[in-house]
Amino acid sequence: MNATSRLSHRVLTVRQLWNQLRLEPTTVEASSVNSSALDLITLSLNHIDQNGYQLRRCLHKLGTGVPFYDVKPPTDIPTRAIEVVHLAMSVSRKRKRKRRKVSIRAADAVQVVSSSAPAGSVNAELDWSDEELLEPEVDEHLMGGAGVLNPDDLDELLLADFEVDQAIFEVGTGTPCGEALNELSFSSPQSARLLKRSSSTTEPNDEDEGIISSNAILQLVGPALRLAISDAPKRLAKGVKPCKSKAFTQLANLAPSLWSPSYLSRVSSRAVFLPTISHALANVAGKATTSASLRSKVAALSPLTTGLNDDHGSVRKKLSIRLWYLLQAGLYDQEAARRLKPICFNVASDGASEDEALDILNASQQSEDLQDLELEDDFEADLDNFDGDKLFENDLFEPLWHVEAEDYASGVAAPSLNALDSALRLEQPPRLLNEPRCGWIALIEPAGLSPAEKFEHDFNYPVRGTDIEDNLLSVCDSVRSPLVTADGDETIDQYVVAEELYAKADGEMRDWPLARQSGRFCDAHGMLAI
Amino acid sequence: MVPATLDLGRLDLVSTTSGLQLQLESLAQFAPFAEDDDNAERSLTAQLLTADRRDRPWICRASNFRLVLGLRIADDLHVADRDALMNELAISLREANV
Repeated sequence: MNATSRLSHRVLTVRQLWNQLRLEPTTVEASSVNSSALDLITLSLNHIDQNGYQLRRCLHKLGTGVPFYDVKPPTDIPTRAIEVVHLAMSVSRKRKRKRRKVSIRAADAVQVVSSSAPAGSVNAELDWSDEELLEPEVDEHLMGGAGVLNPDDLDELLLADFEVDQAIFEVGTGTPCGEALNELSFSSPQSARLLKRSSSTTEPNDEDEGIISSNAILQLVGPALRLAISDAPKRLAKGVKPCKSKAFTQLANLAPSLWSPSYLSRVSSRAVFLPTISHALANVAGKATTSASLRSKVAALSPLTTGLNDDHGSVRKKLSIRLWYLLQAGLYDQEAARRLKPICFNVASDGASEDEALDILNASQQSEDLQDLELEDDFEADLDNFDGDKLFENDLFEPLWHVEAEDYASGVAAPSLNALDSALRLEQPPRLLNEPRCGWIALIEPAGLSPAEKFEHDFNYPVRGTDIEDNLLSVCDSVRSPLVTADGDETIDQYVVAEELYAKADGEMRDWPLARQSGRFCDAHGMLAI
Repeated sequence: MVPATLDLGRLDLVSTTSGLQLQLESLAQFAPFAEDDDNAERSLTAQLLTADRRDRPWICRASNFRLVLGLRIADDLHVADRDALMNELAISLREANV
């Protein structure tokens, strides 16, 4: 990889992360504190303001011209503005933890084994490598998300042999964050014990005093940043493992509007309808209807609206609040942050990272349009609605979906779709096509029949109009397929899949180059034989 | 009014290839809001960390939102070129805006 590629790689990988979050750094300041060997980087982050993106995302004219980040919850919803996120990273050599205890255990083992076991087993017991003793214990709670700091958990933190770096918080902004951290972390007797024991158990480092490369540190910084955002990011750097973390709250869990991809835009696109919906529901709940059924349903939505003396405005207000909370909670997707792109700094020596970089370059260098990258994120987010992760796990379709998502984003011609072609040619439906989450449609048309005739013949479905897309739409609706229709090509004279399929996901029509190939009609529930 | 801060906890990372360990501590600072200082952090913790998501306040970005990365390297570690390391880190993050 030459220097230019590395630079592009670096730009793209970081850019992708920020674009996924719809954020852009406006200023970056670097400073260092010589007295404490502390380096600080401060980024001012704004939401990306791109009209084009907003226009495409806008599903209704009510949202036209409104930036996606301009979300105003109902007046009675408490709002907190987050000003600073501090990430303090302390890098040290991995310690030989509990070394003394291990030695004692080993000595005990010698005694026990020497008195009761053959000599050969003594060596087996003693043959514990340092790596085994130091093997990080992957924390189950790390994958579970947020929690509250448990005093018992603090003892686990002793093993880290770190001392809390107050200066990182204090120097960063000149705010009393350090004091707050001090109160939060070390106000309990257990915490005081932690500090004392931590300092007493730190042993002089007897490891090699070799020079550490910058890349070795950056290899940890990137995953640390992603782990600060998401609990289980995908494709964490090779050889990097989280351990000993309890009571850690990820940023995406705390503030999804900032740290969960697509969350804010999805909230924004729906929030514009809240006043209208709450107004309509308030009418239903009020005097506008005598239907007890309707009124009971509205009451079930928000029990607080059943007060007989409530006026229309009061009911509408309560409904707005209720709907907002439903919206806020319902759109949160824990998986979204896990798909944040890895940050690959200038780690050209790492094989895996280089491969990833080349993948990204191949997919992205042909388009510098940031909006395309955003669409990729949206596309992935839409796939989530279809529970597409199951699909990604399948070996057959994994490359297909990824390739198409990237191609769609970059606007380049679709590469070979051998995987799909092979699947379509099979006599028996492949296993994947019977998976209920397979959400795509392919249409074949025989010789001698018009698309409409062929459609009616094959699917025994009445053709109601001349436009075959209308009929496909009906079928898709009936099988709840997320994708919609194929282009009826009158010139097709063989078993040929229409070249262009249109994917309908989340209400948006998108061009989606699929394939020109023989195939079958597939739906969300499997394959419809013809 | 004093900004309310929220300790998000800490986690450790280890690299099996380099033998290095990184401890990450995360802290969020919120804009001041109308509550007395004693209760501010307590209520913030309760609202954001323990409450059901359906009852949480709406978290938005302050106009001066910043992300501060602090990097401390242990004294016994000798980085080949520390300045280059920080430049690399800063440039990589800044280039997101190029």
